[in-house]
Amino acid sequence: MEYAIETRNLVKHYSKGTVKAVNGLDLKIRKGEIYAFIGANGSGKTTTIDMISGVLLPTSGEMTVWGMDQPKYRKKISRYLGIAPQEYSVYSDLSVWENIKFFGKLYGLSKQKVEDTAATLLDILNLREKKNVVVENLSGGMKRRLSIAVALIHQPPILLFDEATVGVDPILRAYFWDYFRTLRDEGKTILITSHVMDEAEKADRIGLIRKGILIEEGTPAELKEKYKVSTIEEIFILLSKGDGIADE
Amino acid sequence: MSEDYEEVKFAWYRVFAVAGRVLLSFRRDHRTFAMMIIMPIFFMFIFGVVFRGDISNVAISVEVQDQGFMNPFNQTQINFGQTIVDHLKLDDRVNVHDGLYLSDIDKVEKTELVATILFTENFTESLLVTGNATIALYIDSTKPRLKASVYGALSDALQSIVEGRGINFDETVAFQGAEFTGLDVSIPGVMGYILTFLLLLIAVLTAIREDISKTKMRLFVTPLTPVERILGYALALIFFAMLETLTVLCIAIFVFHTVIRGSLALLFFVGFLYGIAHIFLAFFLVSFAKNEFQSIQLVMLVAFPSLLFSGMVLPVSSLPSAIRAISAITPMTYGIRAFEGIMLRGWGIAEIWFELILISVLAIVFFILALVTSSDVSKD
Repeated sequence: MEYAIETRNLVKHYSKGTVKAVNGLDLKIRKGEIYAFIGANGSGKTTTIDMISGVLLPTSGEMTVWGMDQPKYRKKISRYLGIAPQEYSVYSDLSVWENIKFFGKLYGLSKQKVEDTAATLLDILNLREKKNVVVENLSGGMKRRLSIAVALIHQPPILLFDEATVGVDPILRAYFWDYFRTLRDEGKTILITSHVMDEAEKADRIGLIRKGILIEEGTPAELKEKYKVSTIEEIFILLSKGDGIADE
Repeated sequence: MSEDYEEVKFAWYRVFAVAGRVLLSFRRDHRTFAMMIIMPIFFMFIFGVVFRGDISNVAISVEVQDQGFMNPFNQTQINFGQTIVDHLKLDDRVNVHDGLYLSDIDKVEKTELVATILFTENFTESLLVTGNATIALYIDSTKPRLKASVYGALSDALQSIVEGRGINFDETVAFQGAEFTGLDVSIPGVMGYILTFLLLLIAVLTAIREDISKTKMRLFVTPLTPVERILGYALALIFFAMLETLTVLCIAIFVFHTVIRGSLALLFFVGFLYGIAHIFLAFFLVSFAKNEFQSIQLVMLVAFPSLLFSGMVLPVSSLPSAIRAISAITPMTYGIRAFEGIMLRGWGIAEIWFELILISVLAIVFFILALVTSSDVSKD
């Protein structure tokens, strides 16, 4: 099994086919790489993440996650996936620690395992001092860190980060990317979506999506060399024929 | 520098802007908008159905032992007992069955009948000769409105003979002579309604919060199954059901001095089953709601008909047959019967097992419906 995630001709249509969110997507995400899935708002990134995570049924097409058919084995697959959704998706009336502990229990982790892993994550994500703070009293950046910590509590081999670095300050964003690389070096596969093009430069490989179709794929260096440009943003504008219109 | 700035004064255009925004949000939320139109129509209809009719079809039995009396002047047979019964049979308020007084006492104790009436062998003769006669009556006093209907129908029927003068009632009250105040007989129904309304409300709001906070999506990408999720919620919320049962009972006992004739433990057990049924019903309902507003309207859509159709306001037997079908699938119908039985009549499990089974069956049906409608994978 070479690929952590593989989709074949993945299609998702809404409203009886009038809205084509994802339109024949072929993705091959290798084990142990950071793959940035880049596109404008409404290009189909979140729909793709939802289908890969098993919460949204595709209209047609096939997917495998960690070698298992999705959505057929979605509950089994859930043990191999950690997700940080676009929204924080944590309980605002629980503390940082209570949130982590709750999700740890859902994965059947022992109390000791939850405590050990959570302690490490709180240190890495700089949340230790906020351990007992109720989430609604945290800043947006803190909530985002917690969302990532929750995704990692069961130490899954695949991480899906949907716009995980959007809306955080540049220092925290740089910190996140350093941490993502550390996770990658530990062998984890990361699929991160973003509509911020310069994010892509930090990934191992990039997939550019537009109107539900993968329009280009490669390493940042390969793509810049191919299109003779200095930024990924220029490639995206070039491939969008310069219309600059978001896909919403 | 500050004097250059105009002071902010009250302005209607800002008021209208806020009002416009609120109305626009309602217009976009088609389901809520539709509910706001449909709900008043629905409520007017169900309130109209229930309050249009009087109490009717109260089940009673009569035994006429009366031998009558031969009028010596014109040689005609007079039988006042039979005349009264004939009038009773024409009265919609009561549903008269011919029966045997002594054996029907048991049916009153089982609430199959509200009263059983006996006209003794010399009823007519006694009335004509002495000017006095007695009707024996064994009656359930735990439902004052039904009791009043029986006496109302009897009183009208007595007018057909000597304007009812000289007739006395030898009344025996069922359930060891249990007499109750209006408050006593209301408490079981009020308790049932409080539990229904509050549990539905708490359960739907708790469940809808998962949607609003988007935590549901994260839960779906864990090994947690829908069965585990619903049972987990039920386990937590049943605590509130028990707490509410305890609170209502404490107020009934210590503030209103209500006497509870049956077992408190059994009452709590009924409260437990009743709570579970409503929690599962709430989980079924919440699958049709997309926001808090819709979920509260759905609670009202169930809670009000429960109140009206459960026998709390009017006896189920007085309701139109189509409405009686709704009563049959309303947990409150059986909950109130069980609460009344334990609290007013001192019933035990031998008398309320049927209600317990029906509440359990409804709980299982609602659980299955909740499970079917709350898949953790979406098609759109």
